[in-house]
Amino acid sequence: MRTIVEIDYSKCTSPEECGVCLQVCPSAVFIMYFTDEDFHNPKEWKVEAMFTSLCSHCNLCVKKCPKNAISITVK
Amino acid sequence: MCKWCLKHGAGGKWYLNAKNYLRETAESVDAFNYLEALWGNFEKIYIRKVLGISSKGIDYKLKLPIIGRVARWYIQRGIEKERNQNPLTNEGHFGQVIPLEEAKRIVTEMADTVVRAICPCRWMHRGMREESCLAFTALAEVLPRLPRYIPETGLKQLDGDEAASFLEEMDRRGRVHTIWTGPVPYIAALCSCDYPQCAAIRVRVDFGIKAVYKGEYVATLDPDKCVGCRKCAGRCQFGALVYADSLGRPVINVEKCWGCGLCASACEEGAIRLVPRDELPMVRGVY
Repeated sequence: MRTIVEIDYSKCTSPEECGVCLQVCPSAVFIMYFTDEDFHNPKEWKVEAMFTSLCSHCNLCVKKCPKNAISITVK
Repeated sequence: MCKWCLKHGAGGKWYLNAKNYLRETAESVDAFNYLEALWGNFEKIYIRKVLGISSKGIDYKLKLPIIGRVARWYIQRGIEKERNQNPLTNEGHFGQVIPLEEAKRIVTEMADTVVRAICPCRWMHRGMREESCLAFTALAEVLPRLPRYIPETGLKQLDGDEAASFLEEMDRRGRVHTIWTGPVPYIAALCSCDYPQCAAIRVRVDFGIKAVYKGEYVATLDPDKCVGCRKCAGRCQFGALVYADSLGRPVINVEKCWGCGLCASACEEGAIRLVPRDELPMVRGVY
């Protein structure tokens, strides 16, 4: 069994201001990192589901995401 | 004693060797440039490619029969590297759990400059800005160039007593005290961690990568002194201490114990005591 957490980046545009998925996840599956080159003062942030094997399919992130950008599938 | 004590401890514990906090030590390992790159690229280091494999879903990849073992060995070798450390692959950066008393000794006796900074792990994992990292000399000098780690109140320098009472407060709230190298043997920070928000405790507990070592102690219980108040129950983050209701006292699994001393500091009867790891043959040398 393998869990795939997909984030629609056309909907999730400013995770550094929202961060709901980061905070609700009981096992901290998500991480937030910056994508621009200026590491002293980065501006562009992106959320990624990093530790998907720890996902318990509680679907809290799917329910709580204000932009409905997250979907979880199990293969 | 762990291998770092033997190499950098000058006969004692390596994190209680004042030399590992000196500016001269920081200069000799080029800690200033190292820490600027490490803290500046913190999230990118965490999500970097390992041996050309993307870190996304790294947990599945670490379970693969051969590739997983090679990746694990490669990551571990990098963490323990002692020369020409590349901050962008997290070489020479690891931590160790220490009890409250030793943490207080470090901030009052060993470290010159102590400032409070935003914790990069919680920012990355939870998107929250919490001032729970104590940064020492070299890191304190580098932080003004990395504005996202500066608290709203600014980088205020703490004296020994302020830092010690901050650590006591963190201990009361149930945080594990850890020291962090940057790069080894220079000790750059003292953090107040909790699982799963701490990036290193997370990879150690869930994937067995030793980015943080267990402490030099383990907790033991004196059943005669225990009154069964349950104050220690719920303090353990590693599943080592469980309150056994039928016995009316907690039981401690020393194999799982990290020696953080949170259960001992909650015990008002003095029934839980930290003993050196070396005294128990089962966990001797197991960090």
